[in-house]
Amino acid sequence: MGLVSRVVEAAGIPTVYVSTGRDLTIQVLPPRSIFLNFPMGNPFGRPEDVDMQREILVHALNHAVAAKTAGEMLDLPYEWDERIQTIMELQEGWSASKPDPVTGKQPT
Amino acid sequence: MKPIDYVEAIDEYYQRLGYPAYDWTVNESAPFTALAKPLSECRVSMLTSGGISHRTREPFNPTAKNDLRVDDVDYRSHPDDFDINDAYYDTRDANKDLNVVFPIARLRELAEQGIIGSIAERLWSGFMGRTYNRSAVIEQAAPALVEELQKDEVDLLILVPA
Repeated sequence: MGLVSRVVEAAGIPTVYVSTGRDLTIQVLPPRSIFLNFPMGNPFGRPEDVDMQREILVHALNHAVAAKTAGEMLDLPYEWDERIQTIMELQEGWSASKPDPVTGKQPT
Repeated sequence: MKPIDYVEAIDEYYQRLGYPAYDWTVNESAPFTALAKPLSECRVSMLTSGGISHRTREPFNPTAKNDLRVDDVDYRSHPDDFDINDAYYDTRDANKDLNVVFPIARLRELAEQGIIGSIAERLWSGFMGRTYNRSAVIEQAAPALVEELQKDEVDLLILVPA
C-alpha cells in the first residue's frame, strides 16, 4: 500500500497514509503518513467509539494540509489500553487454544 | 508501549517457517504533490487493503498473495453490508464496526459538516494480502487506480493499510 501511495502521489494526487506499523511505513516511505500505536486492523480505534474515529480521520486530513516535506510522518499521541500483539502471536494463541481435532479435548 | 518492530517480527516468523527472507522495499525519498485546495473544497476518496468486500461481490481470499484485485465501493454503503476476509490482521473489531479500519460513516459525516468538500463517487478496497510482485503494483495495478481516481476528480486519497 505504501507503493500505491507513492504512485498516486507521483501522478499528481496528494495522499495521506494511516499507519499502525511504524517501522514498516518508514521503510517504504509513503509521501505523508500519520502513525497510531494501535493494533493493525484498528487504525481508527475501537468499535463504536465514534468520537475517536472522527478525531483520527480529521488528523489524517489535517496532516494532508500541514505536511510540507515528502515522507513526513506525524506521530499521534494516542495509547492503546492493552498490550498490542502481532497477528503471528495472536494466531499462535488461537491455534494453541483450539480443541484437539481427534479427542475434542481442550488443551491444558 | 513502544511501537512493535514488525520488520524484526516478520523476519523471525519467515525464518521459523523456513521461508526465504522477505525482501523489504526501502525508500530514501518520496514523491510529493501539495494539496491544491482547502479541505473544505476537496473531493476525498479512500482505499483500504483490509480484505473488505461489499456483500454483493465475491469475498476476498483471506490468505491472498499478489492479489491485485481492487473493488470500487459506493460511499453510501452501510458499514454492516461488508464481508472481511484477511488472515493478516485481527478482524474481530472491524467485524463489529467497519469504521475502525474503513471509516465510511465518519467520512460521510465530515462531508455533511463541510469539513471536506465532498466524497468521491467511488471508494476503493484492494491490494490485500502479501505482495511479492511489486513491479505489477507499480507498473499496472496502481496506475490503473490512478486513472479511476482522475475520472472521479479526486483531490486527496486516504490510504488505510491493514
